[in-house]
Amino acid sequence: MVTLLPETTRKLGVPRTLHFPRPLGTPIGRPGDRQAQARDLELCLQAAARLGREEMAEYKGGELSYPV
Amino acid sequence: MQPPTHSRAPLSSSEVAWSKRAVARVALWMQRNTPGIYQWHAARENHRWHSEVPFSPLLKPLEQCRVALVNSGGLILDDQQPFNLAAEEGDCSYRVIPGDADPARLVVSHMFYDSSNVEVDSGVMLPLAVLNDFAADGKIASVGPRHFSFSGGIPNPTKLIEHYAPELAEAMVSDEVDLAILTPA
Repeated sequence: MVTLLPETTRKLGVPRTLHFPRPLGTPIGRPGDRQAQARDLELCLQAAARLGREEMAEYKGGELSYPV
Repeated sequence: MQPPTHSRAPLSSSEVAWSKRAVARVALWMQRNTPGIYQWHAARENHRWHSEVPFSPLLKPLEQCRVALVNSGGLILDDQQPFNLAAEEGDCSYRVIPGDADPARLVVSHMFYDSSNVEVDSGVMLPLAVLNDFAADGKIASVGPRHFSFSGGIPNPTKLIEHYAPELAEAMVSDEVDLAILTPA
């Protein structure tokens, strides 16, 4: 699951999330930018395959940061 | 480019009272101007819905997975009934978006987030075209035949938790979906 509200997501105990630090309303990529959408969706798939229970990956500086 | 959503009547199955539209405008203003306070408020309001959520590990490599999309951005087809944005406790129902839906037919039935970018390009909320590309490239095995839209801003999600979410999960099991990607408003 993608989250744009990480604190809410943590409090709800969502199993597996990826936080994109961006305003509400544009969870995947940018309008008209299929490459950016593909990049973000690919990150979602990678996170889904790698994350464990209640873990959240953070998107920082163009890369995913996973919990230690 | 379409005008901002809050400047015209939201797409709703029932007329939304001006007071509720005012609340929505405040929410959008906070999201834009005081995002930290909005996040704090959202976390505080939603904390009471915390429960034990089952964890289902992914049992196959991605290349063998069928993937479906679920969003809470209120995306519907232009001939589907809009969500009832006037409902005091929110509308917990969902709409089914076929995998071969024409993106030009998708419209937004939601008023608690700035949907400007979604109205320009639905792919930022429901990236079906990209998902189909992934299947064609072999990154995933296939795309589910059905995808699902909710309209967020639901003060009382009881019906969602007890009825609509289990129903949707059964639909995805029936579609042999291995993995669902959820995108929020």
